[in-house]
Amino acid sequence: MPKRRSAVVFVHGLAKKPPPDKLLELWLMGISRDNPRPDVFAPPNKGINLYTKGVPHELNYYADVFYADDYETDFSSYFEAEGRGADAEILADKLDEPAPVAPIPVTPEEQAFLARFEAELSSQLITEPPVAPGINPAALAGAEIAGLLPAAWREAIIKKAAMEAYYFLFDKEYTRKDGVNFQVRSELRRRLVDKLKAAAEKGEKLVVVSHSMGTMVAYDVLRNCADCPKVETLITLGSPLGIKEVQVELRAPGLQKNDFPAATTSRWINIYDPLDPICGADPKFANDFEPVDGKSVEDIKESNWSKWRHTITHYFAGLQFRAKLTEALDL
Amino acid sequence: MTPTTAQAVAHDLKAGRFPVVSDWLLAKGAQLIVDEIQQGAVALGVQQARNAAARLNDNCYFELTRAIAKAWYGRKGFDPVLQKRRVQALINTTLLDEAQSMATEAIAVCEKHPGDIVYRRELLEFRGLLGRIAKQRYVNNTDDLDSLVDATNRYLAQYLSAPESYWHGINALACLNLELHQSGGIPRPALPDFNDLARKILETVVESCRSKPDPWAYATASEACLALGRCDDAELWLYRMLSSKDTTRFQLDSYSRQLREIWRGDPTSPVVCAGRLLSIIANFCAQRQARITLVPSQVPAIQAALANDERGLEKNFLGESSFSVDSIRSLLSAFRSVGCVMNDIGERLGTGFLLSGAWLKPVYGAGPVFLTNAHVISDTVTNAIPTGKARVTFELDTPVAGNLTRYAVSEVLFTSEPGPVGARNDELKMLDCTIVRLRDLPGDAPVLQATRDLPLLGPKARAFVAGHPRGAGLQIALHDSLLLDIDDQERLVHYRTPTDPGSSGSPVFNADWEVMALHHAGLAEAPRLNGEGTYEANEGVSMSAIRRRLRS
Repeated sequence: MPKRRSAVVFVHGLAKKPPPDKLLELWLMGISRDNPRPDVFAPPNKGINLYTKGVPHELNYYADVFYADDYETDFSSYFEAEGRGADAEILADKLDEPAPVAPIPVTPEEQAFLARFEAELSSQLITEPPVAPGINPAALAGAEIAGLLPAAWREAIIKKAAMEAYYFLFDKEYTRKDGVNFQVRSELRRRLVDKLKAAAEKGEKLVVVSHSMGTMVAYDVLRNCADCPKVETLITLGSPLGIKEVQVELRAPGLQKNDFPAATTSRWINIYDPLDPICGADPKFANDFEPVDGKSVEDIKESNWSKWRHTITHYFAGLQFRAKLTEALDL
Repeated sequence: MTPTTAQAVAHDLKAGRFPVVSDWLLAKGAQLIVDEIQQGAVALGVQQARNAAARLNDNCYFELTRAIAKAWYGRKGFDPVLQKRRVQALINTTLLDEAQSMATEAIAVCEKHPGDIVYRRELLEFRGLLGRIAKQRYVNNTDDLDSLVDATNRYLAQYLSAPESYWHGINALACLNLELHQSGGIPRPALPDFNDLARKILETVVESCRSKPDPWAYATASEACLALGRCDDAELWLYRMLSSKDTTRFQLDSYSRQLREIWRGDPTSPVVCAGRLLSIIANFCAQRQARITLVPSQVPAIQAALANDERGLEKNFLGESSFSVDSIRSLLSAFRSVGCVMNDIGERLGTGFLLSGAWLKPVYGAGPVFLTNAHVISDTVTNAIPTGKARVTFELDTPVAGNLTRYAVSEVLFTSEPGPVGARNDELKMLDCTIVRLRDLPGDAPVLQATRDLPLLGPKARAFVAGHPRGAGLQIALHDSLLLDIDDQERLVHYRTPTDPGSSGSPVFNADWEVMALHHAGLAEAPRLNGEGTYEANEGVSMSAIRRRLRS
């Protein structure tokens, strides 16, 4: 096949996922749906079908490093949650399940990281208060207060994010329940670099679309891996890169502050919902990542709606995300 | 084995076989037959010329039929069968005056040979064709009641003189129905009773079906039942027609046209019997032939259905096909920008479409330019319409005094000759493309959106081709097909679509209804774009290649 003008590499986020083919299909569905939520985004809100537009794409999959083939099997969180509460999305995402392994920090630095990281997320996730007698729970359900979660779920989400962040950022060896070992950061770096190289064979310009914990992997590879191919546009969605403790671990050696990955990347678009709990208290990056060669992060606020404001298909439905992706792909 | 030379095409046609080859190769083959006739080739018998004319008419290549019949008449004199084919071709290209004069002359000649069985048989046909001409005049202008009465009388006279010719009978019945509709139900004196006539035709045709099943007979039986108000039976006969492997697209379109134009059926409102039959045909075409067809008169009803009852439209018009309501919307939209290319006497020979000039090349400016194949409009390609004789109509243009505006070419901006199907080259040559400006076309005429990106290949990759099928009816058809392959230079696109004659120069859309290619040909045994061997494929030239060539 002839090389196309652009190619996309997707990097998924937190928690266990459907099998790679299914996850890719679900992501492509999320991006290609026409007018997915007209009450949130006024039509016309045309989807982008990457097959029709002739854009080759790769999914960088790493959920198996933590969860092996224990795939997510309920895909309902990816579909339009008409008439469903956000709780259903969390349940379907298995975010309420405990983390498979609790991190065991070795150094004081690691210990401090985990404590602060968990505290940062905790500040964004509020425990649902017990319903007082005489109050109809259905009335509260409509309130859709972001971050208002049952205590057990809140704990599970924080621990899972902390576990993934910890093993990645400190390049810890992780032993899966089937006994397979991974040096997590090295493994995730290698996988993404390979995918970027494969995509570079198919398209002239690379666009990386990353979500949640996947944005850490993307930034790390673009900033810190010497063999990373050139990327035209990095898009981060619902990213925890604003959390100081994360930034410190991703900082290039010798720098006092994180910077724009200008050696590989031309443009970085960060799309956030201020109420997305995984973004922490600081979802905007322009002031956190030093501009380089006149390049700086473009922060864009977009609604993820509902109670659990971190859902990937909600970000994919956004008018601004779609406009920026169209722009990045020069469609 | 698919012929690859004009000689082989001519050989097939003379033997009564229709070769599935590109339009221009077919035209070259037909031209060889014309040349043989004009040079007085002894080996060429009249039966061979008749075979060729019959196959070309069956497949709607009316202008080629006319060329052969005209050459025979000029060199060897009158042949009743060839002249009949010529008159049929003229009617199908709406050249009614010429058709009438030729049929009248033919009747006079045939009447002088009462002892010749062929002349006697064709005499009936010519008289029936006069009825058809009158009917078509009424269809073109529904105020022309004299033509309607003339059509009824002519069909009836033929049927009464030979009741086994149910073709004339059913047309007489259809015209009578229109007359009754126009006169408030009061019949003209001395005409047979409508229901009696319908019953007799039905008896004849049912008897005929027992001994010789035939798609025309099924259609006639269905129409007779429609006339009798027996809609369930009409539906049953229609299903027999649809399930017959012998039914051609031409026959199906003819019955569809009869239901629409004479019985006033509307497939979007199947409450009335003719509409119900039309919706069954529309469903069948969408599912089995992967095509939907619209005529301008349907546009208001379809627009209303889109606004009020999308689900009803989907159910009645599209059935369980892969087409969506969006397909209909896009077809309606394309209707405004897809033009029919004809020569100066009105023969409809191809399709083309309007695009923004600036998208192709900035110096063309933002106004619309018209794209078609070089084998449709060119001063150098054999059998193409010379620039000075090319005319373009847009079916949703407002008619002036009953006629659509025929836009002439004011300027040729670019032309690139056609190449053989599947021929790969690295130099962006042989694009089979002519780009022109049309004289007096409004600067704000609607244009199609184009794309320079071709879809990724995969089991769900689709191509949609919208073009003007040949024939008398003004219409546009949309074909749904599988995208098969793309060459390494992204110059050629292959897809599997059962396109109609007249599709040359059609826009090929992607699933987002952006034009990605210019349709140029189809072959039963097209060379593969990657690897060895052949397959059945249609070919388009990518918009990306045309744009790159223009900007190089």
